[in-house]
Amino acid sequence: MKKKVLLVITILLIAAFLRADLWLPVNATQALESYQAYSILKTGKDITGHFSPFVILSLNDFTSPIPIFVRMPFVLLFGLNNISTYVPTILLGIALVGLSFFWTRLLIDREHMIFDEKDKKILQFLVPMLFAVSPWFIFSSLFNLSQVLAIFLFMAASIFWCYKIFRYAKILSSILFIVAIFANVYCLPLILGLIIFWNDEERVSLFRFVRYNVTWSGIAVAGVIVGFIVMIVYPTFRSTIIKNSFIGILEPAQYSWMADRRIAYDATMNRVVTFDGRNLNRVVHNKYFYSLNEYFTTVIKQFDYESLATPFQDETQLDLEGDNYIMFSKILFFEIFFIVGGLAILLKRNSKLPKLSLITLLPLVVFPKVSDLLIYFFPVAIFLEAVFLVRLWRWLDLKRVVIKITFGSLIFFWVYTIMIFMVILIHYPRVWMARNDYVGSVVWNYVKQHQNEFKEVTVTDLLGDQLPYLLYYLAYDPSLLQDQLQTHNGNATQIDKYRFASFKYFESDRKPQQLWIGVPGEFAGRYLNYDKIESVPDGLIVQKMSIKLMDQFWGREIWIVKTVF
Amino acid sequence: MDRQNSVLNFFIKHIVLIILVVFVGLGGFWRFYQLDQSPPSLNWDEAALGYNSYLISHTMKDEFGVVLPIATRSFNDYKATGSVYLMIPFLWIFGMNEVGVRALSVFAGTVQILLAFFIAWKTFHSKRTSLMAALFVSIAPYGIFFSRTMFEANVATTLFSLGYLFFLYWDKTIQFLRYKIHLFRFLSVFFFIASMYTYHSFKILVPLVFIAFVLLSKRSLRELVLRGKQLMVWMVLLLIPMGILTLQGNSATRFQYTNILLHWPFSVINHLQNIGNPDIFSQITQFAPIYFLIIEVVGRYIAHFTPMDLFVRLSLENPVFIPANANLLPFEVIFWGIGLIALLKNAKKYSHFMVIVLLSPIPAIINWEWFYAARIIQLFFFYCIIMGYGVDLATSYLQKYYKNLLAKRIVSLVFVGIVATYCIWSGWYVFDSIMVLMPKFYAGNWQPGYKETVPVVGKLADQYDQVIVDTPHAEQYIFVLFYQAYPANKYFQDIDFTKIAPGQRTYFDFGKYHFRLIFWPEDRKLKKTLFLGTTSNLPEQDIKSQKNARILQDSGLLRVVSLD
Repeated sequence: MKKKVLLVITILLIAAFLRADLWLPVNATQALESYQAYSILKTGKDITGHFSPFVILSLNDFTSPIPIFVRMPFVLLFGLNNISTYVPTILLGIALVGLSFFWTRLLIDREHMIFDEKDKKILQFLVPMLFAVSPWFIFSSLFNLSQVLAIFLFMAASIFWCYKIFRYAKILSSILFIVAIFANVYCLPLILGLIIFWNDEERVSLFRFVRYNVTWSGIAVAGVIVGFIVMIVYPTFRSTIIKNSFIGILEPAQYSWMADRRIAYDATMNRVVTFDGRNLNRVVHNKYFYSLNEYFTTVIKQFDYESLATPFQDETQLDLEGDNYIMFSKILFFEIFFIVGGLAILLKRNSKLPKLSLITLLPLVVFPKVSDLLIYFFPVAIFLEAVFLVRLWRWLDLKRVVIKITFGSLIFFWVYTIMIFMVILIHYPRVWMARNDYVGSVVWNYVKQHQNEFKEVTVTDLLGDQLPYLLYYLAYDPSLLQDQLQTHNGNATQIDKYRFASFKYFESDRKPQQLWIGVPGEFAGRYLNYDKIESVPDGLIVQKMSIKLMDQFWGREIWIVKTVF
Repeated sequence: MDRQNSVLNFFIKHIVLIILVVFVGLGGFWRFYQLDQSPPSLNWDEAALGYNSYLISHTMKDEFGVVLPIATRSFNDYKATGSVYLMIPFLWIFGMNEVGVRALSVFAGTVQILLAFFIAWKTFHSKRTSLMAALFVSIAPYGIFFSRTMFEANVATTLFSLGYLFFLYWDKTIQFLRYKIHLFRFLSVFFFIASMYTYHSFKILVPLVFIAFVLLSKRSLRELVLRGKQLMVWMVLLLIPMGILTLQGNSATRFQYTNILLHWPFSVINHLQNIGNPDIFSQITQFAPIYFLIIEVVGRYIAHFTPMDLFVRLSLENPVFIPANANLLPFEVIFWGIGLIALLKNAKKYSHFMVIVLLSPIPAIINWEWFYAARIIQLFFFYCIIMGYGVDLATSYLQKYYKNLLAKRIVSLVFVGIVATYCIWSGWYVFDSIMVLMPKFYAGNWQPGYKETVPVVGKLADQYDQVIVDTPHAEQYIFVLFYQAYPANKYFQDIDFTKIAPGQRTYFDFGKYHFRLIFWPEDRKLKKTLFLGTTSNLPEQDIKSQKNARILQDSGLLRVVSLD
């Protein structure tokens, strides 16, 4: 028993060690969530000046409310900074590893015919260990509170649903399921699928299901009603949900450019095959074909090994396509074999786990445009991986020296890969972070240090929305926000002395005490060799920072320029 | 009335055959229609195969004078010559033009539709699977594209698939006089080995498949050899030329230029050096190129099972680029997934099939490209069969909900009908993309201009002292030979093989033809010379300003200029 406790503590410590990276820059979602929490604490309203417990609105988007509520005590305790932003996510990430002990138990119990006692013993610790070292969970435990929260809640709810630990376990489970939806609305299809399809009986009618789950059904109906009301009351929420769902993809706006392109090229009019004067090629240029094609393409894009598991290969298709930067590896490159191996083993034994795997893919099928929804499959994938490793271990019989060496090498390989992953994570955020996130951290930290020196700050909007970073890094006073913020078509254009716009520095009205932040093309004109430019008229380039994926004609740098007269 | 009934009965009785004929007909149409229009012209590999085939049919020698070669040096890539020999009848029928060169590939591609049907039939014993497999091959973008171009890989895939089909009839005997002959075994081995003589990848794949099949058989190797003595003799006989080629050291020449070790030493430092200080990383990784080699190899292998690479990503290399389409169609991913999972579940039952699928990427992963479609056409082919199986399983799953036999049949008819309709629709889309987009927007990938200009040069060459052909690359000479069907005997009289050094070829001249870069400011001083060059090297204004110079032909990209 003591040994087991020691093992659990070791796994949790490893999880904590791999997740304790508080000094990394924050991404836009983290910045916005933390600031929303800050704003609600200070003014009782979100940044749009409203408050609702169901949906928190930002300028042209929405945020799930639960992550913001979770952040609030930390913001209250530590203020608006990296500690308050990262601590709740990291704690949840570690808690998720802890919960995975029970999750494993649940899966083992549901498949008790498949595993013997020895299998169960190993799986019990191997699965949490894999949770602890999984790159995707480490990543989510740092940067995606809403996702890690939803996974935590859905796992916890599943456990309470299946085990009647106490009298009201099922009600608690139902509540947790609904909270999970409010943590990340995109997990709704998973939860519905889990309840409807993942039961012990082969088929169950809706009537029978409701009859035996009256309480839950009541809560579910209430949840649906609330959901509908929220959809009606908040058009931003409704439109975002629809835009990201399969319905959004089937809309002509998503694919009509392809048909337009052909028509523009006169391609469809070029009569390749004609019959009675009709161009048969036009048969395929219609919205049904294009929309279905677009839908499948969008779904498949989530299953890209190269962006999921290849952080640094030369000459990958990604590399050749021009996305020449290091993707952040979410799955270790060899794990795929183990996952498929585990799936094959369980398929052979008529397990129900493959069915669960399919259910976890439902969010991705319903909301194909939302990135990273494949992560809901990962708690199951890790179990599959562990099953394969255990069976391999048992099959090879670990007593033999050769096998010990093989497993030793595998562990070494694993540790080495994670080490490389961690080095990239900690030391090269500029490589794997979204461009705007990294630029935001550098730019607004600079502005924060020198904000009193300037009367006017102009920041380019070519890189994307800068408002969340400004609010977060400068801890902008929420009570002034409504008066100061100017918007155009839902995008922030100015707040206080900060202006967000693309500019032509050389044609602008330059005055003393101005700060200009933009790409080289905005300062010197396009199509130039920017490496040779060291100065700009009436200004001093105080910082140059290389950025990735910017149009080479605008220059692949960010310049911070202050006016000097 | 009786006549009507008999027609109906015939139709019902032969429905599978009729549907198969429709699928083969559609596939054949998409592959053959206006073959000379798209791709818009021959690329240099096609021209090389065509001209060598022409030479061999007339003199039994290739362009380097090798008698009945099993690999021709060509552009130092030592092309396997299986398809060169097979092309001869097609050149006789259609002549020395695009259709003549590509007809073999069209034929091979169309046969693949039939082969998919029969392989699926023998493997899964289901009409639905077999017909859908045939349809998936028929509509596949890779199938239509690689059949419309003369790719040796496509022909080799057909031979390999024939080998596998006959392998499925391994134990079947044929009565000949009073002997029972295992004809299919010999045919299987013959076609498997024929694929090795047709495309390089199969030189790696086929031995691996042989080894795997031996391992899968329950008999020991000794027993197999003793029981199949005649077969072994047959196999050895077929492999002798390959052995000689290997001893000559030529068979690996191509591999020297394409292997994965061209990236050695593997590291991530290159990626990081522009981004920041790579010191920390270099300390950890500088001594680990083998580790990164493993990542590269594993990555390449998995890429061949990655939906994104198979169904969405367009090929980026020019020769295998299919406009607007990946190698397989996006919607097929569902049936591919279902079929693959079912195969995984019944891996033992379909072990031979699985072995081919799992081994197929191996020749591709030891090459420098991450994902090169031409090296895995056989994998796409077997994926199409898996998709057919997937449709069958999905239909069976839907049928489970109905107890009534009629209802089951209706479900099957409706579901398969919808899928098949969508398939044909998609096939038409692929056809449209290749026919419309390729000649219009991607003609540059197909070395255009020679088709229009070389015949003009050929007609006038006798009137001039010399013909200078602009040669920025090493391959232009082959177009000059091909497009004027340079007579075989004359070619061997005109060429001086002693000047062609082994290794990198720099000398291409024959007869009046000289191959080098044209530099007009110098070359304008020449007399009685004909030029064939790019429009940039033969500038219009300069030529018009010179009295003795005339533009005889202008294709937009290439120009024929005479200097009297």
